[in-house]
Amino acid sequence: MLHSISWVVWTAAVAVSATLTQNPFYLMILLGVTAIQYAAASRHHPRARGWASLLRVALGLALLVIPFNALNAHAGDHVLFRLPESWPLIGGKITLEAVLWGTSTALGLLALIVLFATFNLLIDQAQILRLTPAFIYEAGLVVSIALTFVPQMMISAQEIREAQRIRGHRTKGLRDMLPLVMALLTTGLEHSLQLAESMEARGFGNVRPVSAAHDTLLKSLSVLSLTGILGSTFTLTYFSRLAWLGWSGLGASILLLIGVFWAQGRRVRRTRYRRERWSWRDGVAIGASILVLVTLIAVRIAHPPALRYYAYTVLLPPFDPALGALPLLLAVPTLIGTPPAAPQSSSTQPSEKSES
Amino acid sequence: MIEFEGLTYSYPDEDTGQAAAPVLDDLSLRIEEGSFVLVVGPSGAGKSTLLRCINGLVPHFYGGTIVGHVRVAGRDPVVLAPRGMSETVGFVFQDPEAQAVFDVVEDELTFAMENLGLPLETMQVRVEEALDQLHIAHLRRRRLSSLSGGERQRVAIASVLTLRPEVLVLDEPTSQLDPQAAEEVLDTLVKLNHDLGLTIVLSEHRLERVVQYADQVIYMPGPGQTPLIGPPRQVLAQVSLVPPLVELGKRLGWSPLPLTIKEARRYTRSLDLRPPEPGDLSATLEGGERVVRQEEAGPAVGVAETLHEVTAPAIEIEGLRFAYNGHLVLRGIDLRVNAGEFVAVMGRNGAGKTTLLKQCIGLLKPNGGRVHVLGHDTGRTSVETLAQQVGYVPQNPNALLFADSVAEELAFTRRAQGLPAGDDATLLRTVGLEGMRDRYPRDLSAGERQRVALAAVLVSDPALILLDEPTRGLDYAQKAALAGFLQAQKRRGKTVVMVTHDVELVAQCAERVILLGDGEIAVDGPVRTVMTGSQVFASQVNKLFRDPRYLTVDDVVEGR
Repeated sequence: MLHSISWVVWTAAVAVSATLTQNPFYLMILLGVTAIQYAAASRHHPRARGWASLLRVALGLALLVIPFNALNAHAGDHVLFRLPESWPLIGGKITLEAVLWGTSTALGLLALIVLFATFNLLIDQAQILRLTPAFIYEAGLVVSIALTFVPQMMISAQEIREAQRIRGHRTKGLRDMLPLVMALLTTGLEHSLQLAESMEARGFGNVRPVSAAHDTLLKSLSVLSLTGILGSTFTLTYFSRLAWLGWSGLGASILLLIGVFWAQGRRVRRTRYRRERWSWRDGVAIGASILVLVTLIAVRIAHPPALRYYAYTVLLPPFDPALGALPLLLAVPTLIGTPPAAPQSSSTQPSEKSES
Repeated sequence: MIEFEGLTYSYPDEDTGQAAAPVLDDLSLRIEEGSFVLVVGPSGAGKSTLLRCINGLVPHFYGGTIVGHVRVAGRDPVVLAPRGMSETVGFVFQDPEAQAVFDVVEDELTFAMENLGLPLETMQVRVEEALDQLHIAHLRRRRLSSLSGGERQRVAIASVLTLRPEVLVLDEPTSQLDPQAAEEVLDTLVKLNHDLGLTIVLSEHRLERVVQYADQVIYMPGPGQTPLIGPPRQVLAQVSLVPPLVELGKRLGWSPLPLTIKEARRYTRSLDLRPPEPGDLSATLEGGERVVRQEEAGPAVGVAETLHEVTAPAIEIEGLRFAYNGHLVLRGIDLRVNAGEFVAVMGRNGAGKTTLLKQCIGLLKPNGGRVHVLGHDTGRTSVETLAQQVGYVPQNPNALLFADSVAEELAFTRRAQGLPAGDDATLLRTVGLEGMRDRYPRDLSAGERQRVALAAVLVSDPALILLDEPTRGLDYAQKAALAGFLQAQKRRGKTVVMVTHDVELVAQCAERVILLGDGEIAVDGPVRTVMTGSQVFASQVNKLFRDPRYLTVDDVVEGR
């Protein structure tokens, strides 16, 4: 089992790679690598079923890009067939270029969608929250809670819809949605209030008291750094001759802001449960991910055409075996990291809260 | 351990910005270390307020004005605020779904400890302990959304126990749970009190499960009124909100009052009851066997039997099969409910009770077989059309209520069904809401909300009334009021089908019981026969006498 940070690095490497190249060959290799990791992660995972159904919809949408592009972009010389010119929008020549370009876009999209699902299966909300720096912990927690509320809201929405139907309420227009939305909102608000109480009763928001002078200092420093960022951006935009001043001002202000955040974060004394252990596997996984990332970035800067692909100028994408083999390194974490979720035979089917 | 001295508290009044009438008025009480304290009383009497004073949520979370002193384990919650009290007082709330921060059980248990910055080793030990104390070790990696209500509530208790509080406060922790899950939670609390000597302060409606373990009962009669405080027998003798067994003891002058069936047995021997006649006994059955309706069982059993021949069926179900997520929930149900009958559907969780009820209103359509309701085939009729003749009150009244006032809720149903605006006064009086026409439904108590939902559905005067678990979170008085209301509906010729776990309600008003077991009808018979033949689905009074003539307190008192 790999460290969560290793998976974060891996995800970043795949995501950046998939945006650096439009070459369908490389994209296909990236998609394959991600799909294998998805398959490994979704085995025995309790949330796998939910993601699988979501993925099916997303895949369908991504594949729609191909016919959509082919029917709309009538550019290119390799004409496959023609639709009558009188047909609006889709009328005209249907070209191989448009099909190929649509395919490469769809592949890129697919890789990112599968990657997103994989990342969500690999990493636990609570775990990712524990990895965030203290000063953005609270913002992260809000997002995390919102995510836990979603399934609950779905159940509530279903209950409410049924309850209004049995009163004879027919939903015909937008106005008729009002009872549903009102009931859902009120339920959500009541939930949030109770959750807030429960969090406070469990010591949430415990901060170390500081002296008034210390507090004032931190506040004025944060205002100063924000002013600095604003001023430097202004300088950079309007006084191009003073660029050196703009850049150094911007850098200094950002450093100051980070310092203020760090000092604020120190007031919260929070510990983290189940700190993961690093192993040699993590070194290898992170190393492989960074190697791919750095090489691709270097290639993209030194020799852009090697990765870039635009079907309308060059029909067939180039393929360099060395560059093609490179993304395969991203399969290394899959090979050495065992699937994170232990088999949970009983937990895969949700039990009924209110019996149906 | 806990001391209140001359405590007066009022919530802030939103309209005037001034303090409203006090909810707690000059309240003084003492709770000893290691005791198990029950806080009881009608809804809106200030039970929640009293509990929230123990950890400082009142006044810190709610505002308002507080006068007097509170001391909990030598600390002052008014000064320390809930955060500062979190290591002294663990607080568990009503709704198991609204108090979880993380979605995995183990993470949820660490939330409080991480907030207080406990070292990792300590956290690991305490997580293991809490998992064992609540018997949820097998759930540690499960997602909260996949747990039952009872399991979630035990996770909530575990998540506060990790801070090793000296007091555990629970605000109606079982009011959103079905009786089975409620028992799970209450049994756990009794065990924690016995094994760890943890001081427990609990507000609860289901007294029959816990009252025998309580050291002290605090009865809150109403906002601002002086509570009755004392040992359970002493307090229960003076109040009317009591379980049926205690009620029986009071009516028959038993002293000391019995709190359990075991204690009450002593008195029944001396009670001079008419020996059961052979006809009564033949009506009893062996547990779990299917009952054949007995025509000769006498007038007390199967009252409406003779009427059935002439009236049309309200519900007619033939070979109903229904699968949900690939799992067969109803496997071949044959059922006929005649007009004017009062039927209770019982059975354990997941037996398909709610599913059966939803089939009768057409929210779910059969996969196999037929469902006819008041002559309509539900497979071919829309829910909205059926709703004009069938009133369905769902489990959760909150799903129904959205309008600004009670009157507006009723008017909404009328408009939705194309009925003319009418006079609500009679209906509101029958459901006991006459003074609440203009109140905001969501601000009302659980019992009142239940009745608003009932009124909102019954405003169209349906011939068939379907109720799903109508007594959740209701106290004894509210249950009695509901039973009276439903009986009145039956006398007006309405048909009532009610899904419930509440055996006392069934004993009071149903005449026929259907026990569902894993999607099939296991038992179908007159209420007196079924209850006497069952160890589980029997009322307290019936458990005591094991005699089909006695289901309710009135049966015994009048039958002597």
